[in-house]
Amino acid sequence: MQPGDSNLNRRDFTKAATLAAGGAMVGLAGCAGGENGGNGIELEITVNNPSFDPFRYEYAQMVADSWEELGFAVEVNSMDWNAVVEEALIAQEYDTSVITWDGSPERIDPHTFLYDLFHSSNSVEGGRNEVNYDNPDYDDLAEEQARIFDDDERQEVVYECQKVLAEEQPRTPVANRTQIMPYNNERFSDPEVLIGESLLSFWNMIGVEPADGVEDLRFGYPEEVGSLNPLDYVGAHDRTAIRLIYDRLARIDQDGLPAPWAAEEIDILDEDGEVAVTIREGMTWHDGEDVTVEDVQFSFEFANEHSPIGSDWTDIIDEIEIVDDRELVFHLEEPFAPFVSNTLTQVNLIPMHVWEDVPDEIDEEPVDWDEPDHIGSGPFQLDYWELEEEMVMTAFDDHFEPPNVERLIKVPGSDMSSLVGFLEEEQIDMIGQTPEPNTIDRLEDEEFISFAEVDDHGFHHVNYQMEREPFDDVAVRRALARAIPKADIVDALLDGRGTVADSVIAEVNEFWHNPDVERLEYDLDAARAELEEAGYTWNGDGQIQYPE
Amino acid sequence: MSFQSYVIRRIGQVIVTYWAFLTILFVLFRVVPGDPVSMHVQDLGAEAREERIAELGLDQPLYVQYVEYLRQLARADLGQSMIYNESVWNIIVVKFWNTIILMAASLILAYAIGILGGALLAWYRGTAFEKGGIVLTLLARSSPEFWTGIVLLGVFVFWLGLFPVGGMRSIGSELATGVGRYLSWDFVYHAVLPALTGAIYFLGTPALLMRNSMLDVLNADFIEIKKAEGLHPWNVLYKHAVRNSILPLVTIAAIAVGMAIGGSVVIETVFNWPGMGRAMVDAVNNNDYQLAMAAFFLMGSVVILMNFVADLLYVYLDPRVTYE
Amino acid sequence: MSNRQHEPASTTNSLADQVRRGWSTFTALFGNDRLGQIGLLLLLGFIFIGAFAPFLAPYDPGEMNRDDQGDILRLDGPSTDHLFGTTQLGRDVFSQVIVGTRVSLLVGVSAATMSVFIGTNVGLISGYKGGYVDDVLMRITDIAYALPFLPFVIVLVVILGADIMNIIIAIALIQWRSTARVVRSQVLSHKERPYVESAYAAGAGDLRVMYRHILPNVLPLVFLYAALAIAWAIIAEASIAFLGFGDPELHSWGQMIYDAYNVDAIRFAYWWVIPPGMSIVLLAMSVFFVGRTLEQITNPELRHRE
Repeated sequence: MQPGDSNLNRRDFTKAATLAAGGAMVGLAGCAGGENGGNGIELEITVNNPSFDPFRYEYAQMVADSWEELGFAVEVNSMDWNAVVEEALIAQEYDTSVITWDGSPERIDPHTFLYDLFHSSNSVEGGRNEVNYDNPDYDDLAEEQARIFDDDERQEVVYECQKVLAEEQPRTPVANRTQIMPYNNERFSDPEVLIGESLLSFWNMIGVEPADGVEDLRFGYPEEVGSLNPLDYVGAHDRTAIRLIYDRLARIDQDGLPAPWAAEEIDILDEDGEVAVTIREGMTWHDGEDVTVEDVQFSFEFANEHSPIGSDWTDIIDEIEIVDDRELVFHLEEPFAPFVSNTLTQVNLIPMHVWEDVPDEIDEEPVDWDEPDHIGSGPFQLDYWELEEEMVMTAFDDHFEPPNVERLIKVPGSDMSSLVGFLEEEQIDMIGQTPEPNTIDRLEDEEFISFAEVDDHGFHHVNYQMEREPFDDVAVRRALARAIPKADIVDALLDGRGTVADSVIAEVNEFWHNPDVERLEYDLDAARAELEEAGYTWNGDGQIQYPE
Repeated sequence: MSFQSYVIRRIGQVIVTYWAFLTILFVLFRVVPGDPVSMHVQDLGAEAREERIAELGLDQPLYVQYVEYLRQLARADLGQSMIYNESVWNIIVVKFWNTIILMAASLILAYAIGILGGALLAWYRGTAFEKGGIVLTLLARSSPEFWTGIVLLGVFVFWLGLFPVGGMRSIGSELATGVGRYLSWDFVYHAVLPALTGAIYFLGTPALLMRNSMLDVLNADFIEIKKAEGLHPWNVLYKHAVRNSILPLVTIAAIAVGMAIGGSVVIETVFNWPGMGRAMVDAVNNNDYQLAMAAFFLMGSVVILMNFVADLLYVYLDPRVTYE
Repeated sequence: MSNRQHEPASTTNSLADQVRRGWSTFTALFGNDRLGQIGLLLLLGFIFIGAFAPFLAPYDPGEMNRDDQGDILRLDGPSTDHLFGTTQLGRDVFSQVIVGTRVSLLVGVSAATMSVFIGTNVGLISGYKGGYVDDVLMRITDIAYALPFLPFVIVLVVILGADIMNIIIAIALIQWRSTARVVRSQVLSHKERPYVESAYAAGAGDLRVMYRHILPNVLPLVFLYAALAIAWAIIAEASIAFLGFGDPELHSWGQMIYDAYNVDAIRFAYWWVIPPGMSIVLLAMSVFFVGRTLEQITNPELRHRE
C-alpha cells in the first residue's frame, strides 16, 4: 500500500452521498456543511480547478488525505484559477494553497525566488510574498545576496537563504516537473534546450538544426501570444515571442548564466554599481537603420518611464552615461547583483526613431501601442500574425546570429490534444509544452518523434497563510510539510517525470541550488512528534487540538 | 392591428429586450471574479498591477463604467482586448464569419437532410423504415455535439485518416484574405467534419417537424381527392404537401440559427475551429472582459435578430395568424 | 399544431378514481408503443443504477488502483477486475459511469423541475392576467430567449463557481423560457372556455381559477415539456463539463469525457470514452422516447396516425 492511499478521495463519496439526498428531494437546499464540525483544527486548501492544471488539483487531494490522517479537518476548496488568484494571491484570504511559480529564464537567477517571494517588504496585497513571511534575519540575508556581484561569494549567501527557508517552511516546495517536449526528428535534430523552457527556449528557435530542404520551423504551443509590444512584459509566453523580434543586451545562456548578446562585453566596473556595456559593431534594425548607443540608452529610459514591469527592472538605474559610439556605463543607485541576469537580459532594445513619437505625436500609451511594423533588431522579424491561427516570422539575415530556419511559424492550439494531433499528422514540428504522461508513452513508439528532456526550475509548492493560526507556528508548518507525500505525488501523478523538491531553488539549477538543506521527508510519525513537542494534542477521535 | 403597426410594436419590444440584454452582459462581466490583470499577478507585482488597473479604467465607479460601455456600443466600438492589446473588433470580426460560415453550412446540411428525411418518414408511415428513421433521428438529437464530434474524429480521423484533426486550413499555407479564405478546397476539407457534426445535431428538429406537418397534409381529405383525380402520388406530395409543410420550417430555421450560434462553442472546441465560441471561452478563461463580452454580444445580437425575423416571417407567411 | 384539447378535467373525482384513470391512460399510451416501452425500460434502468450507485460501483470512483507491484494501473483496457478498464490515474471507469448516472439524473430532474416550475407559473400568470403583467413577463421571456445558452451558462458558472447546484440553476435560468411561452398560449385559449366562466360564477378567485381549474388542463403539456427539459439539461450539463466548466468533484459523464479528451486518450482509450458517451445518448434518448409517447396526450391526433 502506498501512503495516503486508503482513504483517497473519500470526499468524492461524501459529495455523492449529499447528492443522493439532494436528488431525492430535488430541492434547492444547499449542501450540508462538512462532517467535521467543532472539534479538530480545520484548514482549507485552495487550489485551481482541474481544467486549469489537473496536476495541482490532484495533488491537493493527496495532500488533503494525508493531512487528515495527521488529524486535521481538511477541506479542498477548488475554484476557477481567476478566483484562486483573487483570493489566495491578491487578497490573501486562504489557509493553505497549492501554487506554482513558473521557471522563466531570468528566474534562474535566485533573486526572484529568494527575495521577491519571501522578503517582508513584498508582504502586501497583491505582493509576491503572499504567505506573509516576516523574518528580519531572513530579510537581511535576502538583501545581502542581491548586493554581491561576485558569483562565488553570492552563492554562499544564497545557500544560507535556502537553509533558513527549509527550516522555517513558509512555503513547502513539492516538486519540479520534468519538461519532456516532442519534436519531429526527421525534420529537426539537435534541439537547444534551456532549463525551465526546454524547446521553447530562445536558443532552440535560432539554433535547432533543420534537415536538408526544411525551411519552416512550425512550433505549436497551447496558448496564443497576447501582445508583441516590447514594453508589455506581462505575459510570460508573450515574452518568448517578443524576444525573438527584439534583442537584448544579454541573454541567459544554456548554462543558466547571463552572457553578452547584443553587447559584446559587459564589465562590472565597480562593485558599488557601475556596469560598462560595449555593444556589437554593425547591428541594424529590421528597417536598415543602425543600432546605436543612443537607441540602447533610449530603450532603458523609455521602459522605465512607460512600462509598468519595465520600470520594476530599471528603477535601480540612476543614470546611463554614453561613453563613446559603442560604450555605455550604467550607474546604479546601489549594488544590485541580478542587474545583468535580470535587467540586461529582460529589457528589449527598441529603435528610438520609431518610438520617440509615442505618446506625444502618436496619441497612445506606449504599452498599448500596436507598432505596425514591429521593428526590432532580433534574429526574426514578424511577417504576419493571424490571431489564434498562426504567427509567421522570417529570419533576419543581417543579424549577427541568424536562425537556421527561414521561417518560424507559431501555431496556437486550443489545447494539447489538438497539438499532439498536428504533430502526429506532421503538420507541426515541435510542441513547447509537456504532454500528458500517457501521450508521451504513446509518442515514444513513433519513429519520427524524439523528446527533449530537462527539468523545470519553476516549482510546485504549498503555501501557508502565516498571518493565520495555526500557520504562524513553525512546528505546524514543518509537520504539514512532513505529511506531504512528495515522492508519491511525483510517482503517481507525473509517472515519475519530475523531481522531489526540498529547496525553492531547484536541483537542476546547479550553481545556485543548495544540496544540503534540511529534507523534511514524508513521515507521519515525525510530523506527529513535531506537533507533540509544540504542545498539540489529539482527542479520542484522533483530531488535533491546539495547545492548552 | 395591421401588419405595419405590429412590426413597429415588435421593434419597440426588441429594443427593450436588447437594452436589457446589454445590461445583463455588463453586470455579468463585472461580477466575474478576477480582473484581466490578475492573471499575471506573478509577473506583475503589486505596484505595476495597480498602475495597469488604473490605466484600463477599472478603478472607476461602476455606473461610470456602465455609461461608458453603452456609449462605446452606440459608436459600434467594442473596446480594446486587454490580453491582445488590440481592437476587439479586429479580432472578433474574422472569428464571427468563421463561426457563421460553419454554422450556415451545418444548418443547410441539416435542413436538406432533415426535410427530405422527414418527408420520406411521413410518406412511408407505418413501415419499419419509418420506425428506424425515427429512432435514428432521436439518436442524433440525443447526442451532444461534442460526442458526435468525438465519434466522427475517432472514425474518420484516427481510424481512417481521411480528414484533418482540426483547424480551418493547413498550417503555413498561403493566407487568403476576405471571402477568399472560404473558397478553397483546403477550407472545405477542414470544414467537412465540424459541419457534419453540427448537421447531425440540428437535423432532428426539421425532420420531425417535416414529418408531422406532412402527416397533417397527407391526412387531409383533399390529398385523397387529388389522388382520385389521377395525379401521381409524388406529384401530389410535391405540389401540396411539401409546399404546405415548408411554412413552419422557415420560422423554425430562423430560430435555429440563433441556437446554433450559441452551440458553436462545443464544435469549435472539438475541432479547434477559430471561431467566436472558442474565442469566448478562451477570453473568459483569460479574464479578457472586452473580448468575451464582444463575442457574447455578437452571439446575442444574432439570436435576437433571428428571433425577430422568425416572428415576422411567422405572421407574414401565415395568413391565419392574427397580430395579437 | 392542433388546438383540440381534452375536455376540462373534473375536479370532483375521488383519488382512487384518478389513480385508476391515470393507470388506464398509461397502459393505453404505452401499451402499443414499442419505442415508449423501450424508453421507459431504459429510464427505469438508469434510475435503478442511480439509486443504488454506491452499492453497484465496485470501486471508489476516485481511487487510484494499483497492480500487484504497487504501480498505478494506468489506462488498462477492460478486464474482469475493471470491466470498463481504468483511466490514466488508474481509476475504475465502470464505477465512474455508475456514479455518473446519479449526477446526470440529478441534473436532469432538478433542472427540469426548476425550469418547468418557473415556466409554468410565468406562463400561467402571463396568459391569465394579460395586460401589462403579460407584457412585462413576456419581455422577460424574450430576454431569456436572447441569451445564447451555453455561453450564458459558462459565464454564470464562472461567476458562481463550478458547483453542481450552480450548474443546475444556470441551466434552469435559461430553460424555463420555452415552457413559459407554450403554457401561456394554452392558457390564452383556455381562458375563453365556458368552464372558466362557470368557475367565476361559482365565486372562485383568480388564484383558484388559475391553479385549480386551468392548471390541471395544461398539465399534460407541462409534463411533456418537463420530459424534454430533462433530456436537454442532461445534454447541457455534459457539454458544460466537456468544456471544462463542470463540477470537478463529481465524476459526471461529461467530466469523464473531458478528462479523457484532456489527457489525449480519446484516440485510443475507447473503454474510457464510449461508456460515458453512450450513457449520455441512451439516457437522453430514453427520455425522448417517453416524451414522444406523452406527446400523444397533448396531441391526441397523433394516436390515430401510428
